[in-house]
Amino acid sequence: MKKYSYIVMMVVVSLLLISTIACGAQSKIELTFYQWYYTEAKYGPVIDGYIGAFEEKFPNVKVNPVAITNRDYWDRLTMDIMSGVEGDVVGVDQASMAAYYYLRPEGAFISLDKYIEGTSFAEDLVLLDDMEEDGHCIALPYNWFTFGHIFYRKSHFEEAGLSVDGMGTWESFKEGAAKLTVDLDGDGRIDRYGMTLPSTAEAISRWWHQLWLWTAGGGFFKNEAPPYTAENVIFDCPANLFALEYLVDLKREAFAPGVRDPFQIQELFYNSSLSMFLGASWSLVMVETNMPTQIYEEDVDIMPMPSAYYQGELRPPVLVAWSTPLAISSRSKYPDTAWDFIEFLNSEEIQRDWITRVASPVNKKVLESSWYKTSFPKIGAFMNLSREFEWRMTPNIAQWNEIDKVIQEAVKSAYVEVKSPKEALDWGQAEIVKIMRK
Amino acid sequence: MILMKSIFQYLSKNKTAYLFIIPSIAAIALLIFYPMIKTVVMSFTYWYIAIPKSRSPFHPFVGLENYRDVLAMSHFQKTIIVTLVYTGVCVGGRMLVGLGTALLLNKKFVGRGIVRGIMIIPWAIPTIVACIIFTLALDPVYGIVNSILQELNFVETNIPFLSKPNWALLSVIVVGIWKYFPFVTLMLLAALQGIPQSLYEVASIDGASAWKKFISITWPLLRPVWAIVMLLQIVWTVKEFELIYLITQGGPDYATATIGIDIYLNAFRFFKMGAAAAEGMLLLFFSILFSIVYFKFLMKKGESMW
Repeated sequence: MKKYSYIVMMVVVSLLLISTIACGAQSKIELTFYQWYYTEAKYGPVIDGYIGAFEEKFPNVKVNPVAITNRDYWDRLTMDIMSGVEGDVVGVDQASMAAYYYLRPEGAFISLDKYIEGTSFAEDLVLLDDMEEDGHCIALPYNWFTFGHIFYRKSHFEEAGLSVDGMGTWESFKEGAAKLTVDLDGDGRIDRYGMTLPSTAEAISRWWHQLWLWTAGGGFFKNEAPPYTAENVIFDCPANLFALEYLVDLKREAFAPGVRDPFQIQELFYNSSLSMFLGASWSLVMVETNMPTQIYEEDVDIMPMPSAYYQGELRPPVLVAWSTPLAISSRSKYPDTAWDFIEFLNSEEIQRDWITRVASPVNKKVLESSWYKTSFPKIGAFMNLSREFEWRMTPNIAQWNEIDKVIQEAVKSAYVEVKSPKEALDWGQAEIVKIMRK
Repeated sequence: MILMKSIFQYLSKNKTAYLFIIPSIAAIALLIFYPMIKTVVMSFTYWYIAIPKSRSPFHPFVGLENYRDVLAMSHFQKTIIVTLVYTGVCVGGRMLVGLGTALLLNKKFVGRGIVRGIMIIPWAIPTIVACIIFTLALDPVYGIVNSILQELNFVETNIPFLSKPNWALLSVIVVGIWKYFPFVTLMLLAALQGIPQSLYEVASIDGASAWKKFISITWPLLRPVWAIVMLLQIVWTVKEFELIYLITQGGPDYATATIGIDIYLNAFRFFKMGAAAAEGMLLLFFSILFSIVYFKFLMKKGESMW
């Protein structure tokens, strides 16, 4: 009996040993990839594609993309960074990078300086200069977008007898938008609206209004350049007042009623309830996904934002460019592997084969190639149109979330006519100065 | 020394009982007392994460600065008013609708069981689902509410329920009443069913009208439960967040921004944890103050109520 017990014990121990060795042999490095694109119909397969390519090159690594929508991502990212459980590779927005970085005293993301040294990224990548915080490069761009141009339905323009050339100024644009706002079935109710801008309190909504303020010659800070201090806040400047009064008029003439975020506005465009919307280069992907191919190819086109005639000067539109770079968590157990992944996404091959399907590549070898200009006609047209105008980068200010809220509340209070545009801007100015003084 | 000894002796006598409750006390300490104490500490320290003063994990003491910042916020007064209006109207609405429904469901009629089940639906539906339904229903372009109002010729143009300040506040109040009145109904219905029928029979023999029966029998016996339910509703509603945030995010122009919304925005949007903690402490202080005053009022009426 004792002999049999020893045999059984030996067998069990051997089995345990074998399974442990087997597990050890099969264990891979697992990276968690935080971004907000995986839930989008068009982006999901692209992410799977480049992750697959990475795992083929690095067979001992498994990359797990998280599925969080854009709406939920920012709150989730805040909570996860503060809890120390964010992913190894973290997608951030260029404008609010700093705010998330400082969620931990030691910095939520590691410095990438030592990794970038020795590569050609400094010459090859656009927007790299804007990735600095706390004296280091803390993120690497792998895609970028420009914003915005007017997406419009050609058939609606034809019905209304409008042409793109005839809507090149703010006044003619407003007249055109009013003409596009129609009661189609004669029941006394408007069925189709000319134009709409977002009116939610979401941070992203600020972007849809800042272009109009910039075009008029206004903005938020003097010259929209450092130093970003309380003394340089210009929110209540005359140019902003001109722009906001125009937008309130435009709203009265042509906006769809109700509170809508940018995605809901695009939905109105898809189902023909809206003739125009102000979109970014990423909007092209969504429009293509959500509209029938024939309509997307034949009826959807892009025109530049109108120019503002202000103080005797015709001011062309000012656009914005930004990236959604990738950072490496300071809590990651595999920072070197995480860097391998980020570096891989910026390689010429991946930029060309995958990133171009959903965004603009940041690698100049792809971006400036003739292949790119001819292979993506609609996004190529969008990017080429963008190059005709002045671009600004959204400055990296830690208080942007708070300033966003103020800007949105100021604009909204003017839209719903609780405050006059002047009162709204004066209120906003006082609030932004208060925020910057802290 | 003698005191310590007698305490020790007492504890030793009941040590088994204390061993059983230690896990619960530990859980309460961890999940309630520790966060509360931490919040108090945060409200007196610099916790503006977006602009750290130092890289140390220890946040410097700033005294009452966070409280001053909260009270100095330009929209704080409006937030208080909105909170009071929302709480007052919502709680009042829920109590009245809940009472009315409870009285109806206390009567015998065919299909009462089914109606009681249907009545629970608003409370059972997840808040996010309810908010999405109402947001769509109140949409000025597609919404069914505007469509019905126009069909019945009650309005000429669509009402932008969620983008005009007064309409937005009214809309969230209506949703707030609709969502939570079933809880009030259930509590009051249970209390109504505890009232002996013999009292009503005697009242009927004496020729009492329905109103007289309600005033003389139903209401006095219902009042203790009514008082408790109302207190709970007030405490729960004053810190309401998810329903309002999901529908209007506190807008437009702070028209629906209650204290709960402001605390969330300060903490998780603006990363001003100190200010959010201070605001939370103010809310806690006023909730406790209200509860004390309310209970004192109830105790005064004690004999007639209980």
